[in-house]
Amino acid sequence: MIHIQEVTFSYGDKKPKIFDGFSLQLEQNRVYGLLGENGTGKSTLLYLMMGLLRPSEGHITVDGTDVSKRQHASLRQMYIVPEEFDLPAMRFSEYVDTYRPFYEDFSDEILRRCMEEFHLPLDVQLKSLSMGDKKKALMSFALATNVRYLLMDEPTNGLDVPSKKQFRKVIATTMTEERTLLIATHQLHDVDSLLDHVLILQRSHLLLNASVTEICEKYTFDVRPNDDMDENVLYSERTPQGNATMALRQAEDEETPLNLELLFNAIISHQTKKNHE
Amino acid sequence: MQMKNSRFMETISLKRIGLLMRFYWRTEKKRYLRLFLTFLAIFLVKTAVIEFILMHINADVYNLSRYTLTQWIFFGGIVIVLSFLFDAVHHKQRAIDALCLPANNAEKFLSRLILGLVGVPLIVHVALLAATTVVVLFLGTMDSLAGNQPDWERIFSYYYAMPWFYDVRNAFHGFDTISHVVQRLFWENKFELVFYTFFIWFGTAFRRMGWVYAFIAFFVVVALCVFAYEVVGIRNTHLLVSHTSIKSLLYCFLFLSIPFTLLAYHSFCRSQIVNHKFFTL
Repeated sequence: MIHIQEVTFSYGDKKPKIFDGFSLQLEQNRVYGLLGENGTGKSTLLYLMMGLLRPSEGHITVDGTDVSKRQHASLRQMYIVPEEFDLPAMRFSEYVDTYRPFYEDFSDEILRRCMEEFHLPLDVQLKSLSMGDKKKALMSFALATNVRYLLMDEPTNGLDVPSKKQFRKVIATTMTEERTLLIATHQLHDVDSLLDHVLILQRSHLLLNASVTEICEKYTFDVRPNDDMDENVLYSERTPQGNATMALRQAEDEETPLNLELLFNAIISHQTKKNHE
Repeated sequence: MQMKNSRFMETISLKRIGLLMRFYWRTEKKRYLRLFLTFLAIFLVKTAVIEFILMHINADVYNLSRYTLTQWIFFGGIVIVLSFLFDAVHHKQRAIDALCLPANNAEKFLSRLILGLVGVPLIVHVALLAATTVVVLFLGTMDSLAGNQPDWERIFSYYYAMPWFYDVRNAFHGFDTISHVVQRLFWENKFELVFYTFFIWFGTAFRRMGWVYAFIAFFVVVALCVFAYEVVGIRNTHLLVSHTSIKSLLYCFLFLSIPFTLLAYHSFCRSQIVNHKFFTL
């Protein structure tokens, strides 16, 4: 379990606080989506969880170990795929050979499967790859480490449309009961089918922390004509097909698939209105 | 093999230290090659300037520069390079890569330190050896072309008088002035470690240009010592430095490498991938 307790953080004494008394708990065996507008602190939160940034107040523990000490006990269970990264100038096989010994549960089989799924050869010169392919290679390695907590920062940035589909397939096939995946993104369509828990972050506050099951039990997401916009509609957007709506679910309503973008926009617009009031 | 250290309360694994050294070597091979080539070029240029220019200008300058210039390049080069030993923590992407590896801070620090304190001086030594060999072969060949029998033994003994074989005691007679004391402290081989660790600490603690601040701090300390000695020493003749007190001072200063190393470790542990502060402590 990742436990964030009353964390306060800013990038310098005179800079505004990114987090002020922020708390969150991430359970095992979930795929979390950490959503938020640009500059809301998604990446910062991931770095704090890895112990790469140090909170001025509060603690972050991973299965009881304080991450800020960057001990083997916590780092062996975690891996981060940053949004921007720099791979060393070597062949991928050499990269694997260099990094693999640090991860006791590394799976060659998962690595092979992921690379196959991404249509990448195992023995390729990393510098010759495009940014998207480098990201796919790094994600394959990350999944093969078999760490308990995998953090991904904007994993679909730089991936083309077929690659995004491959990404979803790879994640779906490599998730195990022991693993927790946290995806920080604003590319909502790319990950909505993967998530089973949604976190929406704005100005260091969690506007939403709910499972997809809970959300779908309470709300419906569908497209309605103008004459079907009743009092249960909480938020709507005009689309060529009609009004994309998020509404309170009634007893007789059937469960609808989560529309992550609509949910996100609804919550952000509600919060913005509240802030103006 | 694993050791428990009460100071850090972490289990240190020698296996992981080995893996980390392998990691650093594999990911930074090009950096070490560049380092070797840079020092090789510097030593070649230095030797060429001394042998083909200074030799014909002034015999005293020539004799002095053969040793001291090499020593300055040797020592100055190493401390500057060592001040970059932990520079990865100041570059976001490299820091993420290195700091996220599953190993303790102590293991990462120790493996880097071993590689730096052994590897970097070794590279500089090999570069100096290679440059000297080139010059020796060149001068020997010139002798042969001139129809003379090259005296290889003389040439080798002459040019292989490298800094680490050079006995400073023969160069500075007596220890009655502060300048002699400083020179002695500076060139004493046993004393190098304290400079190395001092520069490593500054390089880790400062976000940029740690070596510049280290040089400034070093010269400020020396200047204060000189001033204090001149003021105190003139009035108290019994405080004039003796050979024994120099030895004690040397070991006392050598002991300073321990707090410098601990401070560097402290800075390393507190390093963050994004840091806008001037000083990381």
